[in-house]
Amino acid sequence: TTPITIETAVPFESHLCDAPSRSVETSSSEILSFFRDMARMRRMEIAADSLYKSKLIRGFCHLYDGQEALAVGMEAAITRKDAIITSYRDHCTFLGRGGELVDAFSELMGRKRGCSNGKGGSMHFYKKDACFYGGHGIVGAQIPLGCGLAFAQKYSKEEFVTFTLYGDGAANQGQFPAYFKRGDYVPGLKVDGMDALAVKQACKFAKEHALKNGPIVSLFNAFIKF
Amino acid sequence: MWGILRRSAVDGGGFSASSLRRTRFSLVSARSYAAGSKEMTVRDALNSAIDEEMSADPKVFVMGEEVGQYQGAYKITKGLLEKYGPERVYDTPITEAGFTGIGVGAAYAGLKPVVEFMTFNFSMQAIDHIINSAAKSNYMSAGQINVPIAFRGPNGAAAGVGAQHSQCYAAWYASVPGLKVLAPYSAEDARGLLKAAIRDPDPVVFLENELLYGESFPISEEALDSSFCLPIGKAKIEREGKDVTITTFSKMVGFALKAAEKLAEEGIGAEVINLRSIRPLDRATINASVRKTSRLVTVEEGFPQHGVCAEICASVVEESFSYLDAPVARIAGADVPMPYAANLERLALPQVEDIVRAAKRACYRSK
Repeated sequence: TTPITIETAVPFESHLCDAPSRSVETSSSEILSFFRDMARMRRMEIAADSLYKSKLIRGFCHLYDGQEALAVGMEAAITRKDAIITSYRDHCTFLGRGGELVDAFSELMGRKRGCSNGKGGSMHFYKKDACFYGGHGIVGAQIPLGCGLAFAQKYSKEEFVTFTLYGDGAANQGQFPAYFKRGDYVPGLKVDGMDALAVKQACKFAKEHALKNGPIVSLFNAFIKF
Repeated sequence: MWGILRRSAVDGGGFSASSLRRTRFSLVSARSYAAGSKEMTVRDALNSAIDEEMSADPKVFVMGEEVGQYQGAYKITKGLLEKYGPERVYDTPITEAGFTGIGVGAAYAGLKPVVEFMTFNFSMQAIDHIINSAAKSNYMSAGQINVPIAFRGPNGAAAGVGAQHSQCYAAWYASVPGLKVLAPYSAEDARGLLKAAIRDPDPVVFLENELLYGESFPISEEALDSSFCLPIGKAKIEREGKDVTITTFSKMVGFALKAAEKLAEEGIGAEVINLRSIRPLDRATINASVRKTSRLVTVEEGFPQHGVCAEICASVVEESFSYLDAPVARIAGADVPMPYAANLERLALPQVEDIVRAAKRACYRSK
């Protein structure tokens, strides 16, 4: 737990705002926990892939392996009272919010022990007690929903934020560009999504920015395998 | 204290309420029906309902196009911006998908949005959020997420607004598990059902009718009380009769009552049921009535195929087949996009004479 400072490998790029510093405060126990959580997420997704290929998981199965640094880095920067909403690629986000492996696998395999009692499936994991609002199957739907969550936080004067996660598919969906096309005024950040420490720094920065100034869009570059 | 007052009095007034039903939370009025009851337009009924619910619960807020500064496209939200301020009454841009999504997200987080669609035709822009984000979430999350949102606005045909602005969405939304769908007729319906919709912990689609907004109805003291609320899932028998049952909702209730008057002149006693709730449908009341009269005419303004009437027919055939003395008749809008010309528009919608003719046919009084 002695604090260590590490420089991110890749600098942040910013648009309409100042970039955060490349020096990230961390500790050896935090880095070890990153490793543990990311390794668990990776193993879960690879196992899910095998189960899906054996037809023990039905329907759709969208995997997050390759993006583990994002889920883990984000959790290190925020609290369980900040809200997260994401797409159907939600298994690791669920784990990051404190979900249990057995609840995730049970859900994937349609069991009552599943986090949605087997009624949701791969795309509909939720954990309301940790402010994780799913798990959405329609590309881009989570974006206005996430705005609504943030709206509720502002309405209730809570000092928490909402992280709305989406991929490059949703970036084209009407619901997202429609709001932002009215002019170039939303600031942005470009982050190396393979670096959990950079993600942590960016999310910490984004939360502070959102609480003070309003919405910010962050682009995390990551490799996904499938 | 919660006694049931049940009286049925058929009077010549046509559409006036003739029997009091027990309602939860309401004070029972022992006044005589005829003792100078107040009148209220549907518009004022809706406005007062939203106002009272906003006053009672700070989590309730209103959003939609023109609901604030313009006082509401149809003035339903008149005065609310002035009274509650811009933190609770939001004028949205013209992007139903966007603001409906925001409303549903806010409901996920525990707020109680009242989302106005300028007409339900525009709800098609947002139907993914109504169905996939709102209606299904409680089930998909195994009860973790509930969505206390109300979607309201005018539904069905107006006057001369053409095909893209005249569709009835009752059957579309009522087919979805996870949604409740309400359709008020009178001012009392409007107040009681909208309050129930706003208080409900689940998504409710509240289908109003533009042409009814300006109509005045008598309203009882209990309905004017701010705690008044009607139960969801209960139909109202507007007029009792023993010869034929007519079920309908919204504006067609008025037409059915007029048809009942005409039928009474010919000695046919029509029982008119105001559905009030399309989902859940009050199958018990409908079937009990059909078992009494043995004949059913179902009426709706919307397209005939896969409509509300079709569901009622199916329900009655499933549950009361041996009681039927005649085939069930469906009177619905014509199977055509709504025409613009006034004469064609009239032909495309059910009229009082269509209901009368169908009822007489069911009673074997005409071909």
